[in-house]
Amino acid sequence: MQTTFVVICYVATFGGVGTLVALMLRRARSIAANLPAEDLPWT
Amino acid sequence: MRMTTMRGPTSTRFTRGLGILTLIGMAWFVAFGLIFSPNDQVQGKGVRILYIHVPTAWLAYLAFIVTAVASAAYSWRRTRSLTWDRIAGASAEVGVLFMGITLLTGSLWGRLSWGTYWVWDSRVTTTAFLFITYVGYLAVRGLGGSHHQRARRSSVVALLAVLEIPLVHFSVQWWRPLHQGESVSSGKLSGLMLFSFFIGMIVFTMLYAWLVIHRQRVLAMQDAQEDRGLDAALAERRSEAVAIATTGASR
Amino acid sequence: MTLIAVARLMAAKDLRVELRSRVVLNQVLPFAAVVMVLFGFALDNDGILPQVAPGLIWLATMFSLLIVVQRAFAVEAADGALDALQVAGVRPAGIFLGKAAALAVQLFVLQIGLVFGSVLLFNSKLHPGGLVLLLVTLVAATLGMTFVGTIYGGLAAGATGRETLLPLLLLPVVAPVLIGATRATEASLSVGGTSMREGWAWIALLATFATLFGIGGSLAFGSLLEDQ
Repeated sequence: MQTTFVVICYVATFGGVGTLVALMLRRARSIAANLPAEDLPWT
Repeated sequence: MRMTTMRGPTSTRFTRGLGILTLIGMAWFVAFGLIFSPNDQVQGKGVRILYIHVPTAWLAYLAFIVTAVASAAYSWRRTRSLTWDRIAGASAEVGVLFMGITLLTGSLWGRLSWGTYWVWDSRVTTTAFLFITYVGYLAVRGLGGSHHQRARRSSVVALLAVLEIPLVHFSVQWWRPLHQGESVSSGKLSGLMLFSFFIGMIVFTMLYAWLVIHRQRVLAMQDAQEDRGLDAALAERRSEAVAIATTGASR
Repeated sequence: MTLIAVARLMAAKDLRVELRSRVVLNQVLPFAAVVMVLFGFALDNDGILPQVAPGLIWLATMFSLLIVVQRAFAVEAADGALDALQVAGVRPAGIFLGKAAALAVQLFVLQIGLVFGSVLLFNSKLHPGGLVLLLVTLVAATLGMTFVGTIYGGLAAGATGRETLLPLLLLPVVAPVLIGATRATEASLSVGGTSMREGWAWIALLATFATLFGIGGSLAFGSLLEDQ
């Protein structure tokens, strides 16, 4: 059971974070498509 | 991997660098956490869960402090800026994510170490309350209205939440003063175990920073998109009104 | 106008509305009674009912709090009364304290009913020695709950899609009140092993809670109103 739980924790953490990062970056790309460069003051 | 595929609209040179460092750090962390560090004498493999659980717990609390400070910065007229509001929102989202991880890993670790998935002591219960409170905070952010309305409402909720947390903590602590054995480990942490904790703290902190910076930028883009949409709609109405007026006048 | 004068006017207005419509009397009190009966069904064990009665009283109070708070703000929303007050320059802290006071009175009446309900349904025994503690508990807990309720009620009032948010926002925040009030009530009813001294210690927590949210609400209510 120990191994199972450890694996679940690592997979859930990094898998979850990775998925959310991918979703966020994809969303960012689609929004940016409609915006002119001046709306992105950090670039 | 071509460099251009990493160049998203929210990335700058700093965040690209931070992102790469974070990825490298995570690889190290997994290597040490899962492979190179030894099992604990008492907890066995279960201690490896703590390498995730402890950093995410600290960072979740940090994230909520950032949300509170950013909310206060927005509320104070001299520093009022929607950027503070967006930082508050981004940090709260990352905080909820980290707190979810904290609760999951904590629960599984608890099952391994104490035999129960849950314990009614002040730390665990307060953490769960914080989680629910910030889910509520995010729901308030989604209520709509102008950017400043959102910012005003959310900052009130965030600042009241800061008030509430010590109250919840102390009331739960006095409610159940005898918590079941919370001793973390057999006593001494070996060098490699300490090192894994240390890497964990650094990696998750970098991850937090990277996530908040990017999320804050996405929120800025969303707000800008809404503003442009509004401007476009207003411009349309105006040109319609002019057209009606001129055709009316020519009759 | 002074803050107290505004608060008094506001509270009087709200209480007059209640006296004429009798919503709390005719709807909320029966609701609370139903909740108490349902607890009896769900727990299905006459032996433990007196022991858990203090907690049940406060659970029923919290569920009723949701309804009473929504009612308090629905009364204003229909005619945009809060906007009008704000435009007229009435101090928001006064509106806050007044609405909270009216809510507190209504909730206090409800709780007297719940205590008697507990005596009736759950076999709770009132002790003369514990009556003072019980009354102080009712007052301190009610004030805390109504301050918090007025803040979040103000936030959640108005547009549809907002009222459903009230339970999620409000109930976690009043959890310390639930804990403290239950323990203090246990002490006053001589149930569950809480001593009178502990009971009074919990009153300190309840008083702190009420004070913090009373002040916090007075300060924050203005910016919540701007938002309707």
